[in-house]
Amino acid sequence: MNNLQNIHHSMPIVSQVPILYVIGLVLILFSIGLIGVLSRRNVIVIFMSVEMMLNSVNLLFIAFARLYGDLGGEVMVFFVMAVAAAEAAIGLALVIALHRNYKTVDMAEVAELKQ
Amino acid sequence: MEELNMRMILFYVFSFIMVASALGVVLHRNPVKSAMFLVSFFVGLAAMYALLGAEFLAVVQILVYVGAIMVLFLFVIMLISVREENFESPGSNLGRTAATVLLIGAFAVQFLVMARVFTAGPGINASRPYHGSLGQTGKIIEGNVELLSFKLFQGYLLPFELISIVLLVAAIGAVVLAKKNRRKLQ
Amino acid sequence: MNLFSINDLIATAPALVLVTGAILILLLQIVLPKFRLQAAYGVAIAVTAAAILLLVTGIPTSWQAAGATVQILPPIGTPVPLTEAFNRHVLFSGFVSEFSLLILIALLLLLLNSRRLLAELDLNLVEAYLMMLFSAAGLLYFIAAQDLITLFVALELSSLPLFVLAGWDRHSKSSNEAGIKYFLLSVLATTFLLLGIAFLYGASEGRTNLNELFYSLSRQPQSVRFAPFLFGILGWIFIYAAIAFKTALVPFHGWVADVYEGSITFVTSFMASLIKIAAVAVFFKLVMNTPENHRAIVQPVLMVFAVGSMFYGNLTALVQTNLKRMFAFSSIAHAGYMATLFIFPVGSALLAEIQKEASAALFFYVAGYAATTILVFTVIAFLETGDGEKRRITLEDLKGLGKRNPLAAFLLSLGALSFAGIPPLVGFFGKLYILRVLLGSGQYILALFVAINSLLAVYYYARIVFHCYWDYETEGEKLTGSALRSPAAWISGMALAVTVIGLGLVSSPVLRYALDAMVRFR
Repeated sequence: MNNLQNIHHSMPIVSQVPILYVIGLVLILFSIGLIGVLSRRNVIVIFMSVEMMLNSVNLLFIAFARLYGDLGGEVMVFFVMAVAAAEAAIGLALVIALHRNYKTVDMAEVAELKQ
Repeated sequence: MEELNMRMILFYVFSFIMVASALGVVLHRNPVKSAMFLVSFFVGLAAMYALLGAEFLAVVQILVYVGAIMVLFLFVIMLISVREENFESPGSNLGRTAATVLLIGAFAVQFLVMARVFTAGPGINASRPYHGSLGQTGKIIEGNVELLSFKLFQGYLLPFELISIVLLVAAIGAVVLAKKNRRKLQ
Repeated sequence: MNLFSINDLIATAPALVLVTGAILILLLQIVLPKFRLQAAYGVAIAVTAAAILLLVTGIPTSWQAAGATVQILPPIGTPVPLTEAFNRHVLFSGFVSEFSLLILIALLLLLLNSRRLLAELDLNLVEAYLMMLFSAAGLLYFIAAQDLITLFVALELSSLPLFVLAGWDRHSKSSNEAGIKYFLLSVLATTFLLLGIAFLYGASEGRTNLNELFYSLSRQPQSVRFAPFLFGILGWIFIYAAIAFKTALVPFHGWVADVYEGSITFVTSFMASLIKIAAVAVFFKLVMNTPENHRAIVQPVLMVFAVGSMFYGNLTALVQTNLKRMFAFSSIAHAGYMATLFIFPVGSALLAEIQKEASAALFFYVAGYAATTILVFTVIAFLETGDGEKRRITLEDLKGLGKRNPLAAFLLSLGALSFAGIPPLVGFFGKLYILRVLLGSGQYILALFVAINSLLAVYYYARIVFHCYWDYETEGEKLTGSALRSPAAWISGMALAVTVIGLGLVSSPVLRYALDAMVRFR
């Protein structure tokens, strides 16, 4: 085990992902999710887009956690996952209740309240 | 110019998978296929976690998202038999189109500014282990999972406990909301 | 890193009491087959009262473990010592204790009415009390959070029950719509909060504790060519945006009118009072924790929030005919008034003094706003439930209400006049103190905006009073609403009326007390 770690440490540091590349990826994914939220009308697809945004932020947390060697970011990702699971349960229950009354999950048709 | 190495090649591959799946989620008209694209997105993300050196979270990502959350999504989609959606043309809702363009533009500008000031930045050393000492015992631990659990139950005890209440609320709330017509039963 | 000790539990006792109460209700309901709604109602009120008692008096010294400090509201003239708990994840100061007290009192007043109002709509389930207690406990942790991770989790703990409550009326289309809209936009705001936290985490080399963050960030050179500084700026903007969503500030106001109108009115008053108290307090705390070099650049964003909300809220409320929508827009405007207190002159030598004054003015304004909001929405709820299925109340319906239901008309007018800022009422003094802080710190343009908007707002509030008492001609069915007959409703209605009038009369001692209690935030 010790030897293995020594090998890791003595490796020349060429194989590193630059932090800016990760940030760029995160922002691209976040924007794609945002497009989904703003342009789709199906409630479930909107919610899936939001999940995608949450996950892209998780990637940013992990990148920073690894960059600074601090575990706080990874712990945060843990909490985000748990919260996302809770949100999924509540959100999908709301979707089912919505569908029961409206017979649709299209946000354009869900307009009982005055604009 | 740095040479292309294995890690960078993998980074590009996973990035491609993730961006393509993300576009699939947003652009596909059939919600079931959107959900399948989301699964592929999550798997790509888990691979990226592993690439960056967070192996444990990669496994948890697969278990929680692909194993639990996506099943829930697919279950609900199947339950309410969603039909395919026709896209409206961007011109039909000018305000929303403008907001979308504006926000995406803001993100693009934000990234360009960063790219100018930050030229690639420091690299993430994926093989560096975390260091930490075990509280009052002073024992030094090196290892992702061990230190993570230690942090979770000591340093982050309060949010950890709060999460348990959040999950309780989710369980009760989902039952209350999705329950059948109680009024009629009485 | 300390091991967990009993002191941590003692320090967060009020929130724990609420959680315990909620779990007790849940368990009793399973164990005792004859457990009735009445009992759940009783338990909920009892634990809320117990939490208030704990907060005001503290835990008797004999219970405390060695060296434990309990958060107590400060006696007049003495600032409380800062209490940290759970590895500096929560921090209790006079500021936090005072806002916690506001939240608990608001919760108690809402709970008093809950049974009657929910029963009228046939929606009185035990789970409603669970949701309210959990949400309030989440808000207490939210205000006290000193670590961004705890802040995020506590925010979720307070929001998730609200998604359930917003969609509580499962058979009503409007409630469904309100629930799903609130849920989707709230989750979107959460992603922005997380992005902000991630950027701050990256900017400060891996810190999430507000205190450490402050010292780490304040050492950065103020230049956007320095990448971590840029991250910090982005982080603050995203976090502000997320909390502005909770506070209902322009441009994150899109959900407010629909959700306020669509939810059952009881839940609306919960959102408009408790959530707003907590969001405003946390917003202020975050602004306090933004170091000067970042604040110099981020401040214009706050300016947009404040001025935009004031004008948008008031101008849109002018043309509303639906009463609930009107008050929804007016709540945006009030959030705008409060947000003016988040703006301080950059580089002022008297910054600490200004911030202290601002925090006291904020406390006073929020207290008055919460009391008035609960009063107004409670009256609307009673008016709605009187005529069976009728749900939407327009200004037209109010005509002649003064004759048909004098008490409701009186309370509604009282609330409207207080919102408008008519002198002996609490709303007037709230605005006065805001103006005093703004003028004292030399922000004359903001003060001018506040004054203009106060005048604008008088028009639509006055219309309510006018319709109630002077305008009797109406076509169509007449709205009477149910009389506020039940003792609980009567007590809470009177308590609120007395607060709205009385808090104005004793405003200067209250402000002095708030000032004394405010201690440093970091």
